[in-house]
Amino acid sequence: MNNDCEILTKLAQRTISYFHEDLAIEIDNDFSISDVDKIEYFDISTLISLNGDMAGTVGMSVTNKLSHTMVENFIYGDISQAEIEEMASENVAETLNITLGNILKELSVIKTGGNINISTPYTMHNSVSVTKKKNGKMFLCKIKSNDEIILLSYFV
Amino acid sequence: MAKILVVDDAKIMRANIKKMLMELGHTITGEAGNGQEGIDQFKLFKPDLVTMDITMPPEGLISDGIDAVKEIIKINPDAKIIMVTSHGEQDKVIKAIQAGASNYILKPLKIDKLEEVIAKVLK
Repeated sequence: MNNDCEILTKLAQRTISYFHEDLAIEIDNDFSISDVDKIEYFDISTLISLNGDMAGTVGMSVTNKLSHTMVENFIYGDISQAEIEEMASENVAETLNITLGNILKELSVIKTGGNINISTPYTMHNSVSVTKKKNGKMFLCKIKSNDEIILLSYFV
Repeated sequence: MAKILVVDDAKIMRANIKKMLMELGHTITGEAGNGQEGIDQFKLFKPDLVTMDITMPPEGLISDGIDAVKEIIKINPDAKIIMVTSHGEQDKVIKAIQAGASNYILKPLKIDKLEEVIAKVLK
């Protein structure tokens, strides 16, 4: 497995287990990863940059509806609708931060003594698109959850 | 039950920790969104315990949660601080413990694990 697909594969697997075990949100166990030239993100998208012995940008994108469900299931106890809406985008960022942080040590580059630094998450709202750079690489992973799609991406 | 200061740049993490701590019967003395605010609130409220996110944006001379731990330990060498961290941050956890943090807890947080770590630290 090359490093590009490895990070997205492990991130997808961790995302699935995180949704199942920590958020208790229905999610498919299957996912697909494809090589793409352009990514059309959903309502809330978070990007985290990698540098060190592995470079690139990892992303997670969900719809507003799914982001609200994620907040409801993340917060311990009751939460108001206003709080859900206020914290939805920050929760997507925190979700990617947690899941990416969780899988870093499992990557080949780390296991062989390398080092990866991750940035703080950068969150975008509304649908935006990112196009692959010339000579760049761009991969997209789709996972179905609660009749919605979670997009995970990796591009360099 | 303890008076606890919650330091995390993510409001949703602060909200989640606060709800768990209150469920466990603790009192929230304050909350801060960066390390410098955390230090200021520590001086002001003198909490029994601090929960401190490791990775936070820099504010003034305080670049992250580890710097904040160093400053709090200068104020009170017996301060009890629990670091809140992700799996991939082992190196930072070691630095935080060396700086004087008492223990750590991994995200995503579980209330039973939080209760267990607090009990160990306040023992």
